[in-house]
Amino acid sequence: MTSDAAAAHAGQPARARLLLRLAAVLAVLGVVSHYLPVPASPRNLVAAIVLVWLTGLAVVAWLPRQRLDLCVSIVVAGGLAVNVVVTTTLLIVDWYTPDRAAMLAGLLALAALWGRTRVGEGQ
Amino acid sequence: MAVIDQAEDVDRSVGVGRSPAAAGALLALGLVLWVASLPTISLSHVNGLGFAGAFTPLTWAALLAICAGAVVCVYRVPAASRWFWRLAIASLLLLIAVIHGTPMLLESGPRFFEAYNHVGFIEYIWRTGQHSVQVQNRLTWFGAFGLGATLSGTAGPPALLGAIRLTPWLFAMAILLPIHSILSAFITPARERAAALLLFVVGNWIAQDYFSPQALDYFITMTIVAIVLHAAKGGGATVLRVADWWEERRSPASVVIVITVMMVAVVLSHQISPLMLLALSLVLVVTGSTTLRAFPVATGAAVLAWLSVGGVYFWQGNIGRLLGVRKQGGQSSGVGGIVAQNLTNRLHHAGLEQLVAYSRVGLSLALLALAALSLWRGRDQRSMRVLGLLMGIPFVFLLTTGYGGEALLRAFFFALPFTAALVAQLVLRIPPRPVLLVLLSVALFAMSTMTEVARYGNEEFEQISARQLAVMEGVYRTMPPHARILLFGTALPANFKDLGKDTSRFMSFFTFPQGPAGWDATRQMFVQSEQFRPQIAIWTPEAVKHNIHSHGFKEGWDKPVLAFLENELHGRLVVDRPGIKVMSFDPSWHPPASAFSGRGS
Repeated sequence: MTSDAAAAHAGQPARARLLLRLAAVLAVLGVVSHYLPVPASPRNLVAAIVLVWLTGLAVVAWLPRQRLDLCVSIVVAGGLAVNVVVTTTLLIVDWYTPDRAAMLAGLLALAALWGRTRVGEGQ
Repeated sequence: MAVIDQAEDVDRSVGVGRSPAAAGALLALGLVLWVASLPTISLSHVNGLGFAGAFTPLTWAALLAICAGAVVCVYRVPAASRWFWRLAIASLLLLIAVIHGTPMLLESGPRFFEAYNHVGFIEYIWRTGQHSVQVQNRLTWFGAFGLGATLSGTAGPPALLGAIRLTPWLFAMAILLPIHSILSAFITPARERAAALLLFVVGNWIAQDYFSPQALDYFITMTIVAIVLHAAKGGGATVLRVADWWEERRSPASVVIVITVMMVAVVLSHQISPLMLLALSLVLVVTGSTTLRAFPVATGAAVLAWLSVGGVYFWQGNIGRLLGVRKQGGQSSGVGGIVAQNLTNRLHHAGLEQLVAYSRVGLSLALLALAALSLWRGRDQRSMRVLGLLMGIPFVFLLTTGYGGEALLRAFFFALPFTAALVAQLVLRIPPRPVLLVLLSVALFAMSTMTEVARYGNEEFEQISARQLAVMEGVYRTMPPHARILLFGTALPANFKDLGKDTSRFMSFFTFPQGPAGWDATRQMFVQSEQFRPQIAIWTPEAVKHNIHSHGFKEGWDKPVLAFLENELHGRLVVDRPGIKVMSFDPSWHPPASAFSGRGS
């Protein structure tokens, strides 16, 4: 690793742990909101926001620290992209339901964040 | 950067003490005037100029005040002060609200008819868990529709009609984030970046920001470009110095994985956006702006792979048309056909519609000409040359595809961030004298006005009313199983429900290439109606106007067609309201009148 790259990765495990905690809170919020006694539309909305941010955090955690505007772009675009790929894969293998796709994307995101904390410690 | 901004401020510091207050006051005045003008805007005044025809003097005054506030902010507020970006962001949000937001706030039913189709695709995937191209060939690229099903349907059926209204606002704001990241890789002074963002907002008349896969792909594509420029930045050795260029190659694993996932999402969601991503990344690689040498190759391979597997249904039997050697139903074609459909044919209108067409072409050409001038003046700078290439490459790439009537629009949209960056650097050379600031405010106002006139979807015939939507919701709620629906309309909210259950066909001269045309059009409509054997027909006056304005039909062409449906095919009017008629040919279908008085949007 070059000195520039090392500098870019300095503090990444700590950042990843912070993002992992945030993602865990989002995941709990998503699950809880699913069972709230309110109409489906607001629950769908909460689930969508939670899912995009949860998966987006996992994406941004793997990149070197960036400016705020780029970080937010990566979280949103990354979250959307991961969900496109997961959904498409399930559709292709003919195993798709929205619940399965959301669950799989959320679990992948948490696993990726956990992995990022471990990889960072190993460097 | 702060040092440069401070040095820049010294040149502009004379008399700028009250500039933040002046800019803030102008923006606040604009906001108050805009809010006050909203109740004065009448939808009945939407005409050939679109919503610009319905704007009142109060709305125009609001727009002028906001433009003046934006100019004062960009030229006079010290860039290093804490007020600069706050005021710049306020200017951007207000311009988005007035130019792009006013129509969406006031129109009774959310636009576009295409967005309703997309809602239908999402509902279909949610309901069936399938992506059958037999149902709709656009499901070849089902990534974005699948995403919509997942995001909108984990807790119950999707209810996305509200999202149609909100998407253009959200997109117009969100896209500024990755674009600012891209700009910051090329432009250091904050003033020029702020000016470029303003020009992007004001120059965006394309309206590809509606509820669509292309809006999603545009956002992801611009984010990929920003990531590549910042997280895998090249040393600047161009491909002309091959040895140095090759030496600089480097592929940070995490960056490669992240942008590959994003690229795959782009490839799975839309047919043309991956080509734009390929084009832009190719420029970044050959100019040494990134170290990721293989990314364009990977993108090209992914596009070809998906076309070869998932996209077979799309190109099989159409390859001649796609490569431009065969024309079908007036649709595209090669370079000549694309230019004709995109440019010259669009100028063949009369009256106000011609003004709209000229506004579109004029605004685009003016921006491109100013960008070219800026590029010529700054040709010694590497960043300017790269921006110039990024501006030009979308046109080169899209002219080689069979995308058809929207190719140039899409190319201009992808070129717009880089065009705006070049133009911003040119206009910031203008000294900030009071007289010139007034002239610049007027110029920005004129540009905003042209965009409001030119903006796609603002036209009268594109409007969707809440009444039409309520009636269509009633039709889908009560129609017989496997109904055959014949639609006479150019901008109907249709197919947003039960896709695959019924059979809908547009007798449309707008979306259906084989639509009736010429002297024999009426007879063709009789034949097609009879062959289709509809159970339900939907009729809108927009279709009548559209055919008269855009296809040279004579006044009153609709009367014999309606008479034919009623007398020869034994149609019975079930709904007869201003803006929409529903005719039934099924003796067993007797929906209650209350079924069509839904909540609208």
